[in-house]
Amino acid sequence: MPKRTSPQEPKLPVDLDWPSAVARVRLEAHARRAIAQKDLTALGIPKPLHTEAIARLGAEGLEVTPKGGLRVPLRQQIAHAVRDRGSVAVAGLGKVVAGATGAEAKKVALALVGEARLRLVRRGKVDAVTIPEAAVLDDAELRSLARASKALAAQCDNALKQRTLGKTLLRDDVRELLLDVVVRASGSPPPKRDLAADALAAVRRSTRPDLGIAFVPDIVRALAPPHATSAVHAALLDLARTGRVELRPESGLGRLTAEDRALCPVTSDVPLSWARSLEPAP
Amino acid sequence: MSRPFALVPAQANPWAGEVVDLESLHADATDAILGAVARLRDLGRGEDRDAARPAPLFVLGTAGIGKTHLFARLRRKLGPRAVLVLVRPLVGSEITPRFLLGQILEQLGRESYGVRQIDALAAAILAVAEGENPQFPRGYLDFLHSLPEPQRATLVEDVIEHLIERQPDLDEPFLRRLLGVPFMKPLARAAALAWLGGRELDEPQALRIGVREALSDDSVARGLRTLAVAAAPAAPLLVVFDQLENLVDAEGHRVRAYGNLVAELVDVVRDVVIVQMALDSEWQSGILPALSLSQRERIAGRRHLLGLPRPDQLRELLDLWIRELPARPAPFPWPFSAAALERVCSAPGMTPRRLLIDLERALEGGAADDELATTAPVESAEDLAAAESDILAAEWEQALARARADIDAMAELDQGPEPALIVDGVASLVSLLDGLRVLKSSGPDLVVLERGRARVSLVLVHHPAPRSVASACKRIAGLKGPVLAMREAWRELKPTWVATKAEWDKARARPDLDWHWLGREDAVRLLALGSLAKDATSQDVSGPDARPLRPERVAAWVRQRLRPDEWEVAAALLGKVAAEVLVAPVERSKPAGAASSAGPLRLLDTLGVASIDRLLRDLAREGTPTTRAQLIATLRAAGDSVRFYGDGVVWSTRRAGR
Repeated sequence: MPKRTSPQEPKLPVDLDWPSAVARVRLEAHARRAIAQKDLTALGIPKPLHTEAIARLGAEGLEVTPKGGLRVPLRQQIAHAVRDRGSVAVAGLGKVVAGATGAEAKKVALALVGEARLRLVRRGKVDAVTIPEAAVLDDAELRSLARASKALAAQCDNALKQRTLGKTLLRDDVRELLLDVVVRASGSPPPKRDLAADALAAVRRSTRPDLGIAFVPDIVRALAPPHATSAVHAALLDLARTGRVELRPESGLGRLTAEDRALCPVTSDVPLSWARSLEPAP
Repeated sequence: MSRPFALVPAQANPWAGEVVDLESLHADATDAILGAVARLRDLGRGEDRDAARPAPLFVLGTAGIGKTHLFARLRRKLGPRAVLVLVRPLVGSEITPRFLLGQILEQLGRESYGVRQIDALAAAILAVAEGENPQFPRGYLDFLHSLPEPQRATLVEDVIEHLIERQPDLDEPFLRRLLGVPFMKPLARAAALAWLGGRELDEPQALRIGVREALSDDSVARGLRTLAVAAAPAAPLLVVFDQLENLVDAEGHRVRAYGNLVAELVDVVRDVVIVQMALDSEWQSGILPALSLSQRERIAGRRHLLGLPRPDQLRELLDLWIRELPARPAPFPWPFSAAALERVCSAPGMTPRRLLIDLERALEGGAADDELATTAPVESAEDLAAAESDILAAEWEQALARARADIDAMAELDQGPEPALIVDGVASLVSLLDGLRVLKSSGPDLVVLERGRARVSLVLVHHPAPRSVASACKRIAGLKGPVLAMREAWRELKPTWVATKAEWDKARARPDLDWHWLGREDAVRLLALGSLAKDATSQDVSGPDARPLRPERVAAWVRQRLRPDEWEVAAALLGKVAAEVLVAPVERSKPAGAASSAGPLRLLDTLGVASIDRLLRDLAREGTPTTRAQLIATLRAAGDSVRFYGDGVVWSTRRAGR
């Protein structure tokens, strides 16, 4: 922070070192994601040269904002925000970008959805955008889930009406109704590949966007059948030993059911219940 | 079984002076946090007050991966260039801005690398405003101390004016006292720290610093903002919320309260770097689902998932730890064989904590053969149970020591322990007692218990000021149903509190009121229990096989070994107090005159460890005052049963050996 003196306009240089000046502004714009035109002075670009500076940086890929400043392209900002956060509510896009209004951000985000660079999902009561490789339901699964939810809601209502007898639902029935819809791979079986490649693909597909890791029981359910659970475990352990996947020990607080635990490889009596791909997606 | 090789604790100490650290581990998360701090510092020095501040970061990882260790690393890397605060969530009530402010000021009162954080912060703020280098706050502080008082006062005043001019919404009285702390006399400093932390002061303390009452809730929010904004250009505030999995409960109230707090920090306070640390699976399954979407978007900013160490990093970690040993009979990879090392370093799911315990096992077993260090050694169930019990006993003793130190530190400020943490301890104790449960908690002012079929209101009368104690007694008088009121036994109602005593008498006229004077040892145990319960929930208590001990096992050990049902406070909670105890134990009359040697030694045996000042005060309260010289002479004469740390702190070896 400068001493408490009046700021002074820098002297107009005879020759501005454009490459350095542009590099400086570019760095700052990327650090802040957006800068106002008035900030260019503080970055060493005299006011008469602002228009040229903006034109040069615009040519390099920065976007000019409606107010005449510069910003990291909105598409890039939105993609990064979604990657960092897992998902962003459409109504909240304005808060995660810089140099743009919410309306602008929404328009760009929906365009990205149209290009399959983002996915549009419903979360609770709002629409949100998420990464394209997020584990989502396909059309058939969505319809199955709608039917299953309706059936399950009716069963819950029925059970709740008879509390004195403690009427409830079997956990396995609920799982069968709901989780199978969610975790079963849809459509036709994937083309035959080796199990290691299938396991790696399943890790990526099952990665939860909010967390960045995949639940191993989800991976195993996706692959077994047709593969045996033990074969899937062996494939995952092999991928871990070769540094392609990280297997993480369970550290939840009683969240692993006995059934899920049985689907996890175990080392030194510790279930390895989460997995992370260590390779970039193809 | 003890842990003979305990050079590196399995549970990181975030305030450790020296840390064994592998820089490449969790480098991304470290760089992101350091970058956010640097960014906030730049923004703080800039003119654009509306520019977006760094978004909160959240750091997720499995148990034992090094989340808390990251805090110790950040302290080392940042030094006085940031103010680091580590906050653990409350389990007995909802976290509030006042609690956060209290934690910040409490930790500002701690020393970090030889300088008290509050002194470093104030010096850095003043230095930056004066155009000086804030990187050497101790030097600048010395310079400020060397100035004549009027000149220093003018300098500070000018800085305050400048800061307010830059940011008119800052709280001037708060800022004035914050910047004045390094130059205050000890008693005034203690009062100022307590007041700045949102605590109430008693009358003498309030007079000392010229305040009338505690910060209101609005003033707490303004105080947080003032602190953050003033600190940002000099030593930005970095608040690390750790062990967030402790927030998870069935209804989600605590998670949402936390969400509200962080949202307020993001929206209103703004100039603060927020880091949130949690177990990855608990964040996903327990915390995120309970947050509203708008809360999620504010608090779930940039995610950093801590990765497990790579095989080469595991090797490097082992090498670093082994170098800490005083003697190494063979070169690395001793104590492992090459084959065992390969197996350890390529074992899937290997966390730093598990690696450390494997290393300890290798050292203890002297194994250099191919026996797997990562498989559980062949031990009987009895041996394992005994080893587990030993580990828990050691954890418990450490928790007790920390609790005693906290209570002693707060007593130096003429304050009781943080009431919200006492409530945490009560909540943990209640979970261990049969026939009792917490129905609802609004914090120390009201906890509703279910005792059998009855509902009992528990009220902590923790306030230092007589007016507030009187108000609390009035509230108690108006409560419906049985009431249990509690106050720390060493903070008795003073004889001059006439009006307060009148309200107290009215309250205890209720036939269904039990008044319990909370003994110091019980208060220590409550704090320790709350802390141990949180560690267990966060999977930070590991057994002899490096696996986290489940909270239920820790609870079972506590029930069996510590017999919490026999604690006095448990009896009070269960309504088993035979007669109302109206007089605080310390009020009972003692023979006047110089202390016999039995007095100080008995007191030290009770306390375990205490400062000389503390012993002098307590002896005076008990009616057996003595001089410092006489006390020290008495303690020295006790020979090996009393040890001195420096000149000011003493420790009873008789108690330690119990």
